[in-house]
Amino acid sequence: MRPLPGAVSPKSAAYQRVLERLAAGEGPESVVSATLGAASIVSAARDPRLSQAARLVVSIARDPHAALRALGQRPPRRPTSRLALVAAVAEALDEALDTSDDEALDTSDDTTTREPRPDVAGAGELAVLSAVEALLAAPEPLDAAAAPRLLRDMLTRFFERWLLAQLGPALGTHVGERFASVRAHEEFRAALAEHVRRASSAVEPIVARCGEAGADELPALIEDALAALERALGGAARPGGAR
Amino acid sequence: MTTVVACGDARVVVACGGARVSARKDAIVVRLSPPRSNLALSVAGLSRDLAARIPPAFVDLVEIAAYVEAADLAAHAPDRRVGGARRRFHVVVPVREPAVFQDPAVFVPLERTLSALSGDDWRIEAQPRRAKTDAGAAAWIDGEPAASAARGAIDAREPRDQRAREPRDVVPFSGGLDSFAGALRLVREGRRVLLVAQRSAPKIEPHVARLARALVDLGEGRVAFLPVFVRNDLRVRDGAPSTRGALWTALAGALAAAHGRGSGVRFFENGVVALGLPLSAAAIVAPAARPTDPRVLAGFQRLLSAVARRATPVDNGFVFATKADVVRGIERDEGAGWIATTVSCTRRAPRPHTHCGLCAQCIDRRFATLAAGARAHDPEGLYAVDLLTGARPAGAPRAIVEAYLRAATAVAGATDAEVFARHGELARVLPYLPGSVDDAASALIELQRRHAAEVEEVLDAGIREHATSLRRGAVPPSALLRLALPDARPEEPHADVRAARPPAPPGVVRVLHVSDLHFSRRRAWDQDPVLRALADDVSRLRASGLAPDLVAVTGDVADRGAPEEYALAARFFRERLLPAAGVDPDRLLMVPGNHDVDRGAVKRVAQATQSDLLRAESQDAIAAIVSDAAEHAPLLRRHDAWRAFVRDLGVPRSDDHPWWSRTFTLGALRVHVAGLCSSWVSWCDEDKGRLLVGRAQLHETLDGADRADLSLALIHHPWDYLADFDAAEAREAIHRRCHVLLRGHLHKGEGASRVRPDGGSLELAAGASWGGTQHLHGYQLVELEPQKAEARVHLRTWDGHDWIADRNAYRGAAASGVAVFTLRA
Repeated sequence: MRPLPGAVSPKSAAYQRVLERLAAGEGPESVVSATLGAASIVSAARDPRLSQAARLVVSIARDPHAALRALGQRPPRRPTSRLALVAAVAEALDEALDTSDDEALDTSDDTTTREPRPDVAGAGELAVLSAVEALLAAPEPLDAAAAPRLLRDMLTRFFERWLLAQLGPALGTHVGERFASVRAHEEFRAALAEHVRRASSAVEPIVARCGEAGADELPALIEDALAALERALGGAARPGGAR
Repeated sequence: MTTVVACGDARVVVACGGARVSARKDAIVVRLSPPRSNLALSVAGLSRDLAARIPPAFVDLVEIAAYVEAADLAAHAPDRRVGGARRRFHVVVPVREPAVFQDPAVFVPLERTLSALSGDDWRIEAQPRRAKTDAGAAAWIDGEPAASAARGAIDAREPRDQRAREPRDVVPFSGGLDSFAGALRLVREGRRVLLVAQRSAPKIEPHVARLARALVDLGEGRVAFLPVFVRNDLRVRDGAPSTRGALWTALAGALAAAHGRGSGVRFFENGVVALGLPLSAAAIVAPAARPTDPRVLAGFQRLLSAVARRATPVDNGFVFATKADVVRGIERDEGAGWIATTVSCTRRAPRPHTHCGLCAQCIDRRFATLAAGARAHDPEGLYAVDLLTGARPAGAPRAIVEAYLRAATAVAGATDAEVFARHGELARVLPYLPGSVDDAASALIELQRRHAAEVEEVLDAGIREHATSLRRGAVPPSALLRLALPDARPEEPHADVRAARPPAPPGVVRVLHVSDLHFSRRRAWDQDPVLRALADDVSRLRASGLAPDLVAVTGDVADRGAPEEYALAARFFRERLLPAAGVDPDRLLMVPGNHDVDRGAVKRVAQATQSDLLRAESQDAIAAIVSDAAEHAPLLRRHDAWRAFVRDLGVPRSDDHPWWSRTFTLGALRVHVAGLCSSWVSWCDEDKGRLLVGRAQLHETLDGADRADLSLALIHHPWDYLADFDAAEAREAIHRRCHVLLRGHLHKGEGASRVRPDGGSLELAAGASWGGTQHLHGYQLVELEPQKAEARVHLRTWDGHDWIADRNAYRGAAASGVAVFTLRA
């Protein structure tokens, strides 16, 4: 099977540069930039599960109970319990995302024409986790004005998780080498997260439009935002994510 | 591209680009039935009677699960990279009960659960079975009873009719610590147990058989053991695929369905592993690769109940237990002698070791037995590499250690809210756990914290035990104990992360002033991001050359003066703010506010006393109370939690009164600080004009102020909150003897210089660092340079995303975010 563009190819020259920079003790900025030279988030950004999760996050900010009811979930009894709200969101996303292709089921005999779920490995789960975390970390009040901030946070977390997934195995194997201790490794990860968080200001003018964006426009907005973040971090964000 | 799997005699046609073509030649063809079978499933010890009681739909389900596992192993290896391609399978399978498997109540949980397990996309298409003969579950019978016994099967010695009638717990049994502990518990409880074991690594099989025999003997006829064997001629790669969990569960479900109502599938796996954080970011691709993941268990329960048309429990008996709890349970159930027989490691280990000592399972097991104090029952000799002192090869073994420690300590130094907001994986499983979401969240956090404490205890004990070897450098650098210690090597700091502390210019004192934090469990959701960012902002200021010398906190740290609020606050100061500021607790200056009062501790005698003091308007009467410990004890009880909090933080001079004085030598300057308590008679919302400081407190705290180069005072309330007679005296004393007064309370930052011919002071109020959602948040960094008679106040405000310089204060007069005031000479 031909791999989709987006994930790092461990044997590629570009990824070897990432490993070289890691081994040379270079900082998070340099390592992130090299990683974005080896992989692009754009194909993951096009995963419909990401835009579905983002849409839910934005609609939750506008009216959490209405958003959950629209997904067939019973809103939590105690509206002050953010965990209960987020648990309902996670369940709703599981239901909505897993059944999103069921309508395409062709039940006629001897056929297998149902379209498979068109996502890339892991992107959907990263989207759900990022949505859950952004909702949990968001300050009160959750209202329409909070939607851009929530979306920025969710996309930043999505990007950071995607980046760590590309880097993860390589980072860990440097423990005892470049990172003389587990703590040194943790500090590098923290610095990397901070680097992404700071760069995420590039996303702000784009997510500010999420209030007016219709459901059809949101996927493009998300792709723009993640591409902007990729560029801000030193990646090229080429169209299609091809490298 | 979809991999088509044709099972048995299924007819497969797949539509490609609109054209319908036969897919047979491209499909993986899997056959369970002879003559051309390439897959075989056998259950040693399965009797004809038991096989006959398995409903046909469950025979179908087990066969589907076997086909799925075969296809998983026959297809190309999964792309485990996030962002890589998902595998897609379309399994066309003939079944006895097509109506059952075309029912969404069955195929939806089946497909979803398989997807969650493997990270692939599974579609199961059921077709009517065309074969004329059907042996049903009897086809799985593994030869004659004698042959089964030779393969380790052990039958229960119960009357046949009782077997069918009574409920039975079907336990997937791996021979590891957890499943042994669970089965042992059930046996000790007198339950009827059926152990089902899938063939695993050859080194484990004899151990599984021995443990099963021990459980059967203990069960006195109520326990049976059925080993399961799968032959897969299509296998193109080694290892146990995650879809094996589906086969295991389907088979256990089928056996439960053959027994009485109430029978169910009982998994046993400690919650840290079952619910925990993935050890690798790549694991996200298969979000719930373990059959004990709550989402998978919930899916299996829906599936088995739908196929059985009766409630069929599928649960994890150790969902809120750590592995150390599991080990302690074995000891309680008098099974400690069997711990050494259990095997947790499936990797190759040099003889005579049974455990490699390098894999995550070995690390987890050894931490657990050490934490539980069961070292004697888990001898070191079982492990090829010692947990704490063994050298670990470069690459994956070290990455495993790093990931294990990171996951284990993910909760350290974080509030409950932070844990969930940082690790979405934990929040994600809450809807699938037993009980309410809030209860499940509490239990989950408690589990993670217990596990973290156990891991840390083992590390601490290891450091103590190997202190000499560590000091002499005899422990290899790649040993876990060395890797877990902070890096002793000097390293260039990253500018943003490890800001060095630049030397303060001589004659300048910097005070970080925060106030009105209002820590509350109920509002931690909002406080956390704001205060976390505050610490980051302080860190940035420090990196830019503004390292504080002192941290001043002018009250309302808590919201109701409750110990649990102070616990949140203590964590924030100890783990965030002080490290960010680079300041030790002995330079933390704190005075209490009205929200630091535990109003429940203000009893009638205290209320009566303070009413008398206010009526009398006599400083002598106040002094009589303040200077007598027996007299003021009932009044100061309202600050018991506050004092405990300050003392536990390690702030000096915090034992007796909530007021104090301290003297520091900072560079060339002698600095005196008076900490005034304006809330010692505070107890209700109508405090304004009814509070007291008292002359005695002023005398005590201002003693030495006149000899200092710089004199500061801290108080929570503005002057008009004090009773008039007391306010006039307190204000006069402060203005005469202090250069600067720092205060809070009004949740509004402001500064006013009151320079007078005889002295005067600068009053600086900090905004509320977190005063509630309706308030602007603020804090300030005050640079005091007495020789230049200048104070520079760096004003910081929260813009909704981050802390920034407040350029709008003082109507544009502090456009740079820094307000400059004159200090008295």
